[in-house]
Amino acid sequence: MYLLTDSTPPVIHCSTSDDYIPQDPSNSDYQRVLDAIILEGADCFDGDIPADLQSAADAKLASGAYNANRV
Amino acid sequence: MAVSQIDPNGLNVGQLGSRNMVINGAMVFDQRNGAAAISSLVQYTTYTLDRWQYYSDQAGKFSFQQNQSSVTPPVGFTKYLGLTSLSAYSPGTNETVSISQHVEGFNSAQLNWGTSNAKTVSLSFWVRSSLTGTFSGVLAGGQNYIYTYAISSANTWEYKTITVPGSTTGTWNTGNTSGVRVFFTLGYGSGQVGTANAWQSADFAASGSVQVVGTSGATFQITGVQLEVSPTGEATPFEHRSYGEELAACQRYTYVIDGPTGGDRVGQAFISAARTAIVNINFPVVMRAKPTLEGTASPVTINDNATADNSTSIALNGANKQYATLTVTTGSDMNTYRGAQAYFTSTADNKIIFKAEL
Repeated sequence: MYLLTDSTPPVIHCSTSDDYIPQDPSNSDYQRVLDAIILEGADCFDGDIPADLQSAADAKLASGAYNANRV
Repeated sequence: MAVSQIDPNGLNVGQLGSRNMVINGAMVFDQRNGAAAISSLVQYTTYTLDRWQYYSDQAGKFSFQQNQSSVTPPVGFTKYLGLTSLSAYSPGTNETVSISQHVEGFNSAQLNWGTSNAKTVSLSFWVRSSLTGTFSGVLAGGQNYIYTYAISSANTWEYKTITVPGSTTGTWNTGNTSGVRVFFTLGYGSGQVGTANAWQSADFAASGSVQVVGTSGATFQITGVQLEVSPTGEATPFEHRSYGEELAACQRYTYVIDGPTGGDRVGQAFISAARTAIVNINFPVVMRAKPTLEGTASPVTINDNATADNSTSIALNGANKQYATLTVTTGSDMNTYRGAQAYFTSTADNKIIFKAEL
């Protein structure tokens, strides 16, 4: 389950692993957050998915890069 | 006769120095675990020794440790990565189990893969297993190349070299994302079987190759992994870079603030609110990307020279590739707007991990 923190700019907290993930497209954990949004939708987020993350996930799905970090 | 010029072409090597695109190929660095045994590896995001990712669709199939079982390493090496299968597991159709390393695109760009100028590479390593037979692995990126190697004697170190022709098609990343990924396959489902010794669009293992995950108690140990440009198709001896150079290379992907004794300093802090301190962290090398704060950071004490209190939580406040700030929440009020020291609270095994792995 992911949650956006209130830092500036916000980072993403993963409650499963206790990781804090910056919103950086080069960060592989950030890419996994986008994968989770594509796969699970709102179920993976605590509260509504922030609009900018949803847009990034939509763009990733459209580009065909979904799951690129997996085999 | 005096030697006036060294010709790399005459030495049959792609270049004289920094040949090895694999980092921590000698398995020397284990920043996360400090050579402690990890009893059960979880799924595909787990890193073992520095840079070596355990990749599996299933959790709990392997234990691992640097120098697991205390086997004598091959001559010239002091460390190896050891894994032990925890059960006799048959992977599902599309499942995979492996140990792998991503080579960053900046480092593999020299291969010119995906073009007609693609260079041949050599993959070499020392391997030891309780099982014998034909094993397989993959070089992956814009395409997949399934390679095989034979282990003929159980529980004996064997040196393997594999020549792979350059890939002339596919899209190969040349920036700070994954360029080439080196896999050692430990298990696979039938849907992951492809053609051995050939480039293809996908797949992960050669038909009939050994499934280490399929035998409870089976061991797999590896060190001396080297991936290099190979004009002649031959591997050169393992390139031992200096300790400091190799550690810095690892720290581009994972930086661990280690506090083995307690009281070890973490960074300088500023108390921004009664129970909130912002701690500044400078990375020793520029990281590949803005890093994740991995897992739960060890507790720290904030000391403003008048009061001191221990953290109740630590979060990533922000980061770039050279610098990060942590938000440390304390259990009681501090003196706001003061500078302070941050140091580890516990007397042993303290770690704060920043990860920018691929």
